[in-house]
Amino acid sequence: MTVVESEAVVLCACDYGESDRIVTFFSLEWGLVRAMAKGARRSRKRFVHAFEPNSVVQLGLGRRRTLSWVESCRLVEGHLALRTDPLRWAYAGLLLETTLRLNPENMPSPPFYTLLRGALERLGTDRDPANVAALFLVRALRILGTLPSLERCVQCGATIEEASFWKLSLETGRFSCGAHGAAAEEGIALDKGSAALFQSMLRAPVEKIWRFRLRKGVAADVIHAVCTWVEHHTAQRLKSRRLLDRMANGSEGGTRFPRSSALIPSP
Amino acid sequence: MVTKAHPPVLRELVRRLSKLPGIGEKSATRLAMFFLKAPEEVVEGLVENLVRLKRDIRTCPVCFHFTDGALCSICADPSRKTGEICVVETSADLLAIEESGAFKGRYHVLQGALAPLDGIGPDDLRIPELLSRLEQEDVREVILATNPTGEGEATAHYLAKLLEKSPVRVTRIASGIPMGGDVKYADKVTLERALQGRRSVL
Ligand SMILES: [Zn+2]
Ligand SMILES: [Zn+2]
Repeated sequence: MTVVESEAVVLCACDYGESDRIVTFFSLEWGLVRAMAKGARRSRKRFVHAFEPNSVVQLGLGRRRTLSWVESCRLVEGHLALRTDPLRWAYAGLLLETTLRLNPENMPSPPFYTLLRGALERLGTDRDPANVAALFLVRALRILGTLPSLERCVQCGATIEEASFWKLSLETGRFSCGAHGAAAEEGIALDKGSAALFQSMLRAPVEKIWRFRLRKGVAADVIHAVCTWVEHHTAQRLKSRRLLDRMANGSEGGTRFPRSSALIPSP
Repeated sequence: MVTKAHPPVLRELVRRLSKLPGIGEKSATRLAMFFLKAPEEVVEGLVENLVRLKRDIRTCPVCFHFTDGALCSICADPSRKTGEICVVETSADLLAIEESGAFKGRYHVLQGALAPLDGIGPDDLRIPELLSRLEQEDVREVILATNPTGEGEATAHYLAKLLEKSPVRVTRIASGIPMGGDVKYADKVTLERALQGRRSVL
């Protein structure tokens, strides 16, 4: 048996057997990794606060063949700000879930780790959480190798300077100028400025992308398109989308007290 | 380990028991062997109890705690109408607070907490019912007693925001260093919370 260490982000945890939990991390050293936390439900002291989603931890794993178990797990950053704002928290859920769905297990990707860690950090402070989520999703697809090149029109080779409108289709993997991105085709419509912004964002180092600001409405379109693609690609619904849609549609803040159902027994 | 040497009924029982929360195959086998050796009335009593549990216990239509009557004992008790509603995630939390004897008002059980990766949003919790109660009952204060976990905190903040403009006072239970605990062994999050929630001694 060997014990190895890495910094990691906690994605999710579920109970296992009588006293254990299985925790899924995205780690700097090994990428997506699942590990058994022995006795995690019995002794609260041993792993206190260590398995909360969104937390950054210093993780010690025991490994033998294909089995991994948590030897130690020390909290580095709890990202408390995310909990105090349900909308930001819902976006964080989306980041974690897409990380979980898109990465194969035990495939290290330091750039993805830097991206995820940076996004969670930024999500707690940025004035526009949708912007953070959209930048994260696009850059994530680039790191995973599923985003087409945004340098030129796939058909005529025009550069971004040479056309006013662009279309990015994740389904077909095509990036085309207004003349060649057929109007009926599914995809994200981008004006010249937004296309140029994505181009610069993709060229920038991962840790420096958060200063890019998408035009109003573009972030929401991008999030919608990427989520739809992820669901299609993995044949699995993104559960966090439900809470996010609910939060983003302004249910918060309203103090409408519905005059209904108070005395209807639950089924 | 359950093998072919076990009679099918026993194997089936072990399989069913090991589906219970917190029960692995080892404990399930131990329980099955206990039932096998136990006097008949012990087993019959348990079976009858389980049947009655499913038949008689439902959730209280006002606070969503368990009850075997029309209302739970707390909602039915007029002396608990103090104008305070303590909001908890589960009935287990309610029972823990009741056991402490520290709260004399009524409760509202949300039946969960916001959980993005499980797809649980506000519509899946008893939030509309809480809002109706604020309209219909004479409520002065809502005490948010969801767990100090990510999910519980997010749920508390969601409710706080929802009730921002309502006339009721909204409070959150304190969290920090446990009684009998030790500052030097507390983790970062707990310490941060404990300092944020500090108050004057005099
Ligand atoms: Zn073209
Ligand atoms: Zn009740």
